Amino acid sequence: MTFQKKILCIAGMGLVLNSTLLIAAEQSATSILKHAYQYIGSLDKYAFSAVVINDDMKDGKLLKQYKKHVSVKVDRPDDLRVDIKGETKDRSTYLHDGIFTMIDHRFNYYGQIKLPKKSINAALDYIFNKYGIKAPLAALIYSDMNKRTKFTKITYFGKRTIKGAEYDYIAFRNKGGVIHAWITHGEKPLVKYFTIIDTTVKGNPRTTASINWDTDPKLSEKDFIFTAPKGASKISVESAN
Amino acid sequence: MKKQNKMLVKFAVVTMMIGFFSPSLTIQTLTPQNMNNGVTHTEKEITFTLLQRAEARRGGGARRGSARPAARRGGTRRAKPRSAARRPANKNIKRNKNISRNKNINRNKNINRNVNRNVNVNRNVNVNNRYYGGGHYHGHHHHGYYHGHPILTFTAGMAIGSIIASSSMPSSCTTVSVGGVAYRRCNNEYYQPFYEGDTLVYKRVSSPY
Repeated sequence: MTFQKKILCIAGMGLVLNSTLLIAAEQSATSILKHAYQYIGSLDKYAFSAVVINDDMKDGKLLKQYKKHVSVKVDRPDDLRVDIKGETKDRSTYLHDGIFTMIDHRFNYYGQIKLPKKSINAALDYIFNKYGIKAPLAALIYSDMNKRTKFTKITYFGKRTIKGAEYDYIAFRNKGGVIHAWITHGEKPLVKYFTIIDTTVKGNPRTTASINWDTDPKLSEKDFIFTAPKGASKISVESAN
Repeated sequence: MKKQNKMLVKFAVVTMMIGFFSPSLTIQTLTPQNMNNGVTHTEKEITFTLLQRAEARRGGGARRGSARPAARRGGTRRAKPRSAARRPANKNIKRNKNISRNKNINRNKNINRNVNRNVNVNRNVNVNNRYYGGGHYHGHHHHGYYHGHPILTFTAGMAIGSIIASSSMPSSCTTVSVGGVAYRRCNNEYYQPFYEGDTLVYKRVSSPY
């Protein structure tokens, strides 16, 4: 083998090796994410509480960070309850028996939407598509999120140990932002932390969340049934689209 | 044959050089801290010269441009009506200005167009928001839009039909119910609450009495 051929072989092998490693890293990250979503989707009954911090930006500079506590209870196929309490919001939302309800406790107003389908997935799709209503942390509520996830690029950064627990650290990019996620390493992968960097806005504002999971919660039907408090007024819900 | 080999060697060398001296060779990682009170991050940048990492960073992970030193987080708050979220639409505004130089009437039409485009910009952001609740919080310095009309901060004597942000509604106003419909009364002016999507807003209405 001539010298030139040797160099050519080495260069070719290097390229093949690098691209193989890259593909393997991407596949690994994809499977970690999808496995996590599949596991969450397989749970019939679960609850989690999250501390979420949103950046408030102005001219690319951070003005303030708003913290809120989010509590989510899920009982598939059609019961959902979300409570949000924070500086800017004190709201509960209910999904039960084909009715979506949201109530703002500070104002004592509530709105209701009758849903064409009762399941959580169909209900979340309907309120988003028809009214522009976003369920907080919906990615952790859908049962088929593994099929919905779309990204243009995904990277696996390896394992990270946080407070003695081991997590798989991945990041993926999709239209509008970059999402970093720390997923429990093991057979029961759950998203423990995530950060969204909004790349469409100057200054790249972030949303960060820290999540505590309860995969064996004690839930009763009462948790999902809305009863209007005394003096509460029902108001209309219009589309934001 | 020799010429062919030389060409192949040159090609291989150039390919390797492109890989190793790729301009985007920095990868940014985040580390969550203060887990009990939410997540803040320390960031570190690692420089790699391997093809694999360079490629991975180009599309995935986080960009160098998105890195912000911790010291920058937590500036003072200013109250202004516009937010950074609307900024991408500024390009459109400039374009429209060029088109609408001739007539004032056209200018007004263009303003409406801008508003619609702003809504579309938000939809793009919603791709993340929908599943993760991401994006940035629209603080008190602006309140967004309702069907192309800006949501305003409360002031006395607002025009009928004005849409007002609930966060700006004075606490001194009282709630009244007329015919089963709830209103907020502020100095003999009436405001009807409703949800615009998941945002609580008020519409200035004439007296229900």
